[in-house]
Amino acid sequence: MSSPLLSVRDLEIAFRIGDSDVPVVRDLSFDVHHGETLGIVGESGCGKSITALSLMGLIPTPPGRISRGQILFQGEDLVQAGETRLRQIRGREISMVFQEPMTSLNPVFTIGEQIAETVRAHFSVSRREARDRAIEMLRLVEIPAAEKRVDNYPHQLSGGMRQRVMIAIALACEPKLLIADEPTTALDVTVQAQIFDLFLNLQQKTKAAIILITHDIGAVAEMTDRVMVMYAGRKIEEAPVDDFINRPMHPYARGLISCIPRLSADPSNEPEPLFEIPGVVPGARQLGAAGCAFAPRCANVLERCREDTPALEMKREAHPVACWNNVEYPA
Amino acid sequence: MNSKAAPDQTSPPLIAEPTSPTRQAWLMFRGNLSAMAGLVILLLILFVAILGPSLYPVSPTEMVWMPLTPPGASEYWLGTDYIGRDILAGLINGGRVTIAIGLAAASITFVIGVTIGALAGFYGGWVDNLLMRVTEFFQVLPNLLFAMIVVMLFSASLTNVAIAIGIVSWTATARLTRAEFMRIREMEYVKAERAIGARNRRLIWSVILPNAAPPLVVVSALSTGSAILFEAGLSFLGLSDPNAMSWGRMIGDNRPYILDSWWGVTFPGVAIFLTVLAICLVGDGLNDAFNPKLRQR
Repeated sequence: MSSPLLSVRDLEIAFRIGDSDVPVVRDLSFDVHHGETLGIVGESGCGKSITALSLMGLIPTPPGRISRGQILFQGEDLVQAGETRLRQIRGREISMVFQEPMTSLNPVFTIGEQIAETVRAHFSVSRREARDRAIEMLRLVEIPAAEKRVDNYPHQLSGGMRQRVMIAIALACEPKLLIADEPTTALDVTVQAQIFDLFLNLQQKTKAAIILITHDIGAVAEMTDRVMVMYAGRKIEEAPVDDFINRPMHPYARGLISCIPRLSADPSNEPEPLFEIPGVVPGARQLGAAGCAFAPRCANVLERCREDTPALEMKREAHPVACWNNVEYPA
Repeated sequence: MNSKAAPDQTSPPLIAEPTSPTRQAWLMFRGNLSAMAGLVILLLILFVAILGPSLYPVSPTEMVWMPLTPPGASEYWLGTDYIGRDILAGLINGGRVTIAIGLAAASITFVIGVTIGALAGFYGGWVDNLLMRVTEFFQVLPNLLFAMIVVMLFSASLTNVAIAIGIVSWTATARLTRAEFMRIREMEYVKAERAIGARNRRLIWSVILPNAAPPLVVVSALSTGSAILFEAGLSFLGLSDPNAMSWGRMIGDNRPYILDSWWGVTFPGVAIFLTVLAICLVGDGLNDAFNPKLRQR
């Protein structure tokens, strides 16, 4: 494969809490190739969103900062890049769709103005052209009667419509990488499906790479090419999506997949009790401790897990896992 | 309808007419009786102040009739003052000066207050610290005394009076702006704007400020009212432009003769009262229009 579009190397993000720097993301490396969709999954608080923000240089500083590592975007290290350069990249090369469509649009401007203004921030075009582009983008995200809707204010749109507008804004400058941070969490299930369809369609049209951050394994299975599982600020498993769904290796990843409710083939069967992973994600302060961060919640915990932090190890082809256990699947 | 409908669309979509927040506020405002009354009074006063001098061309500074003529006793309806100047002409011409100073001082208040509050609220940290200490310094100055000193040091021209009033009154606007900026700065849409590559300058002036506008508009309306009162106070003390007739100066000039001519101080007093009342009604109406929820209590 050609050189990756985005290559994150040994990224460490630290937050200043009191007098000490607490790393909330550590030793994180991953690649995103052109036109590919990478899913990042994990529970709330395991560093997914902060990783996404770091890619755009949007970590709130202080208290947060990138304390180590590189973010190579088309070979350019964004960690070293200045604010001016980052501003050129934001929205133009890399853009982001946020979780909350209800609050992510500015209430005092029409949606057309907000799309147009993204275009005008990066290209020298007239107001007229920018407005035409806004209408074109609204059509692209399948908003009916785009030439009328363009003059609507955000409060006149439903949540699903607003998320479509957010996607239109994100794609207005044809970025090479789109980061979607739980884009459907705030939407109801049918609208979620529509938005995912829209993402797939748009990806075919624009050839943009997508990083999809979610805790919806169903969305991962449908949308992504590759999956990365994060736990307590570390990558603990990465695999092509089919391999991941069928043969998850890390006990946490297996737990995540077991948590999905399943339909029984025989309706007369008693439904199995829904699986859950006991405990909660450790807080940032507990992260410094030795051993695997998942050990306190792990069913297969070994003596070793509490002392040594497992490193990522290629357990299968293109399937690194950080776990001392060895899970065998029949070939 | 020539719009391209989505495949599952069976009927043409119902689309609400775009109603901008400004228009919604106007609709609320229009339904508010006291606010509309205030607006009508204010427009009348403005009309008189702007067109009055050409419709009623009597000099406010020249002796036109016997001194201390009561209202209704001559062709000068509201009577004359202690040196025979026409009170009505004074009201009309003084209105111009009073309102002009009120607006000028409120604009200065707005510009200084919003700039300082916006920078402090947006950047936070040491910028906030520094600017808020400066604000506190101006807050603890005795307003009237400071304005009097400014006017005395730099001659009592109308410009200087407006500047003096502006300088002593911007602190409340700055604090309000700062609070609004600190609140709105954390909103998702500001983060989203940043993610599309917006500069700080744009975030401050084009993203956050329009969202912070409603309370600032209200406070500016009210600060026009207090600037008018402040000017009246200064000219009552004889510290306003000696060449310009204003309502406060009329009251100040006629004060020694209050027992012989009640009309000399009453009419300008009523004019000040009505103007400030109208401004306050409009300000309250704007407040209700921007915050319909608060009004329902």
